[in-house]
Amino acid sequence: MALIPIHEAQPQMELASDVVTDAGQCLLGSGAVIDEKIISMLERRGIAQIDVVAEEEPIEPIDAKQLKAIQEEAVAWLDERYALVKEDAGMERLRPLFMKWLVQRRAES
Amino acid sequence: MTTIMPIDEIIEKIHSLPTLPSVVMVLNQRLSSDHTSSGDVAEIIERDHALASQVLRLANSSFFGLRSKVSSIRQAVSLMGFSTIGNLALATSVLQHFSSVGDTAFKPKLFWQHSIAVAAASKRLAEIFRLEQRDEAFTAGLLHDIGVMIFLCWMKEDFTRMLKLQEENGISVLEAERKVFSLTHTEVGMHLGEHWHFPKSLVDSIRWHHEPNRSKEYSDLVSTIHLADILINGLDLGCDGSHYFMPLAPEIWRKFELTTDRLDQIIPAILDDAVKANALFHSFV
Repeated sequence: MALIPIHEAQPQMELASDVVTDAGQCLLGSGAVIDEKIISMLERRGIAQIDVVAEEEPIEPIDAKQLKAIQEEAVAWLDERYALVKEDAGMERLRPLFMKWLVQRRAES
Repeated sequence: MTTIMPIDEIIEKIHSLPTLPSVVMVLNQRLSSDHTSSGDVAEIIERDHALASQVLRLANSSFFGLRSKVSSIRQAVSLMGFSTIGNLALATSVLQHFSSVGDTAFKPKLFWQHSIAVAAASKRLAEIFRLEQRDEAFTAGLLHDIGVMIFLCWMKEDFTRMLKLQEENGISVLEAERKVFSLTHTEVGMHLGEHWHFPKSLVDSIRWHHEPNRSKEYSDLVSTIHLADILINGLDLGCDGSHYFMPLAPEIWRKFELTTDRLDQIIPAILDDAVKANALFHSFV
């Protein structure tokens, strides 16, 4: 989902949420695919921005070397942030979770 | 070398801040009252057309997930509850108040990314934990660090110094803030919340989100914000101005019957919610 100014709207974009006027009137429902005519209508109705479904870029698989680098970076980042809570049992329980999700997020990006 | 700012000076500055729009001030008072009705809240929000349209936009977004679309505040209130809608109106108004803060060494955009992610996580956790105050969880999460914005608005240079002090001295954000500002962001935020007549549950969330066991009346809500804050920092979503992690209150595990496996199952939903909420709210800040 991405909020874009109406002047950046392109035909074939899909709405991620309803387009509602300031008066609360629903002009288009989420899921609708817009075209030039609809974009002009929205501009005429004073709609400044719309939520569209963000195009997902294909994720290229990473190799073992890249993964290792991401893991090392995540370990270093966590070590630094954990400096004051090394003795905190609860935070230590959370560390493997943070590690897992940090690596996953960084690998995906 | 650090300079301590007089506490009185900071508090006086907070009290000299312009109030929120009168509609929101009245709304805050009504949200704190036991005798408020849905009609009261709808009637108050409808007085401010700009605010009403922003709230309608939020209510109709996929993030808040209403099954049918609403075209009036009254409808939104009847479907989502007056507390949810009232709290959204409050959040919208506060965000707009701080929307013009410029970039420094610390990026407000990253700050809001953190706050919005904590809001989304708090909402999700409050629903999972079936909290009594789950309607307030999103706004409480969004505004929990509002004291940081006060520092950033008025004392940019000192704020940059406070950030450096954490790393140079290996101290927590609360210690660094006390050295530089003589007050922490939780205390400053509490004063602001009181000045703006926030509901008590919100003021408690702001004041005690690092020490949730200190909140007597709203312990469940404050503990939820505390957990959400720690998770979002651990997942590296945005930045709240702290360099080091803060401790996790030990009672959290038992209070919410948590295990790491359970959290591992919740995190994907939190990440997804955070992205959606960020897309929805970033136009406000």
